[in-house]
Amino acid sequence: MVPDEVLVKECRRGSREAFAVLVERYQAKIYNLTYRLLGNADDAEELTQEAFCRAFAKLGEFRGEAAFSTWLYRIAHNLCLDELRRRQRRPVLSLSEHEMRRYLEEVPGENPEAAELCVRRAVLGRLQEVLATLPPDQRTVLVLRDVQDLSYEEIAQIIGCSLGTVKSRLNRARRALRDKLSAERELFFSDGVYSG
Amino acid sequence: MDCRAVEEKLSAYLDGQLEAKELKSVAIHLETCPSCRAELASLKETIDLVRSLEHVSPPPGLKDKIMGRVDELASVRNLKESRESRGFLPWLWCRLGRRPVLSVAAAAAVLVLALALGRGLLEGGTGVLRLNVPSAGAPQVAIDMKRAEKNSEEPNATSATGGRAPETLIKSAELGSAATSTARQAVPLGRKVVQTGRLVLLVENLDPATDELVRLTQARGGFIQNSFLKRGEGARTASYTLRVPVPAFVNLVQELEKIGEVEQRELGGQDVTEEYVDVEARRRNLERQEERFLNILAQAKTVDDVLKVETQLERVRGEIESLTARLKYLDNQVALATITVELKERPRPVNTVRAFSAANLGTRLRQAMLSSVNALLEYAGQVLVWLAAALPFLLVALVPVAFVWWRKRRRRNKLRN
Repeated sequence: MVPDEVLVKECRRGSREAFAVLVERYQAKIYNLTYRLLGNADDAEELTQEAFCRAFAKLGEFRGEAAFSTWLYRIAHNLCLDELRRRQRRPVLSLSEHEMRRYLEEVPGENPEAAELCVRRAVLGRLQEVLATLPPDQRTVLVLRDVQDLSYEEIAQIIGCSLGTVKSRLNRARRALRDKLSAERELFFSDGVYSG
Repeated sequence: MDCRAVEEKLSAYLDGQLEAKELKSVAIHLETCPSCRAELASLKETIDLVRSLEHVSPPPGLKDKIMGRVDELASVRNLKESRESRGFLPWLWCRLGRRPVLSVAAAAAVLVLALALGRGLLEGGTGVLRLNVPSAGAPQVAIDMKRAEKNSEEPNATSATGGRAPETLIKSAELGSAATSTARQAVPLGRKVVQTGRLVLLVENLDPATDELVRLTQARGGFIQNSFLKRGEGARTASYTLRVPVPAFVNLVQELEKIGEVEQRELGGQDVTEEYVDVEARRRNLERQEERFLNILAQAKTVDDVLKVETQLERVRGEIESLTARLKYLDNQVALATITVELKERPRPVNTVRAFSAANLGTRLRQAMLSSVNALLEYAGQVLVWLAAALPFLLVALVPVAFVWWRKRRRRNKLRN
């Protein structure tokens, strides 16, 4: 596999193919990040595109101090925060818990596997919604760490703060999420639904 | 370590982010504290739940969409880059294109400069530095006239100067009429100069102007040698050739100019001294020949001899006569200045409608158009020549502009590196 640095250099020389390789390599990760942060596929797609475009346009400013992936995450992260800030002024409605439950009960149970999959999807959908109720800074570290599985150092570089901040913020985020989930404990942690 | 402090570290503990010392103390605490163990379990449960969030796969075609937008960006940037790093002339072209008013002004300036410089260069050697004197005519004539007046006022000063000239003057005085002596007074240093003048005057009405012209000429002792009248389209034109004694020449010209509006004035003089002296010398020779022939004739014995000598005498006398006539003509020309006055009536304002003239209309139209086209072509050629003449100066003028471009480019390259 060609290292990112080489590809970046090629891009700077005007190679379109090199950038295409980078897009191929990172589109899923960036899409996941934006999807988990924004909780909506359309916005995630739009912001993923925007992030890559920004990266391409600003490739000349990329100094190589951090890894390309970190830099790319950072761009996507900033875009997401902007989007979330915009949303705070104009809140997006989500499914209420009550509607969620009704949705679960209406799932037909003819094929047990399909039903289980369906329920599992619904639960994880609900998890996403709960996630969305966390403050953006906590949500970000949580997603970067537990969804994207990035190291503390990478997270620190992406959100632009110290390791200590990452640690404490992550701790706060996890506990806040735990508290929110425990209110719906039987949905998330009952046997059968959650099996690892 | 109390529970509160341990709780703070549980998240990092799960991630293996604690240092050895912390790790140890947290582990020890956990062994003894069931509530913290429960806390750890619930945290782990939560984290595992989050980790179980499946990887969402990006929608198909995301990469193509991204690359499409990237290509758009790239093409825009390429355009920009190519605009920035191109050569001097395209840069200049683009710069001017961005400000149309400026570019029009620049083009006009270049054209004017080219015309001025080109014209100057073509007309005179040193070109730009040479000021164009409007037309050497008017001021020059004024000076001439002053000088002539001065000369006519001091006639004796000239005859006092020595040399061969006074001798010829005396000779001519012997030969000529009364007019010759006045000529002698007018012409300095014994030069024989035929003075001529030409005036074109615009007058309101031809008849009173003609009367005035005749009166003035006669008052100055001159006469009308020739006259000519023509009726053109609506306005009449008359031409008169006046002869006037040289001393009155300048005065008469000045007086005549008051008759109408001067459209054209030429004053000139032709120096005929050389011809005069030459003719005189030849005549003297012939006169001596005549004398000799007369002596021979007196000694002639036979009729045959007499006849032969008579033939020669006749030839010599004929030549002498023609030379004398030439001298007389020259004297006359020198003594009397010639003024040609052309009187033009101002075109009357049109107050009647004439019939539309369709005769030769096609031919006239064609000729008018062709002559316009020819004039245009000629002018275009001239402009090209002028541009060529001004080109070196324009190149010099481009040097500072090129310098600005060069500095910009260097600064940009620096930034890029």
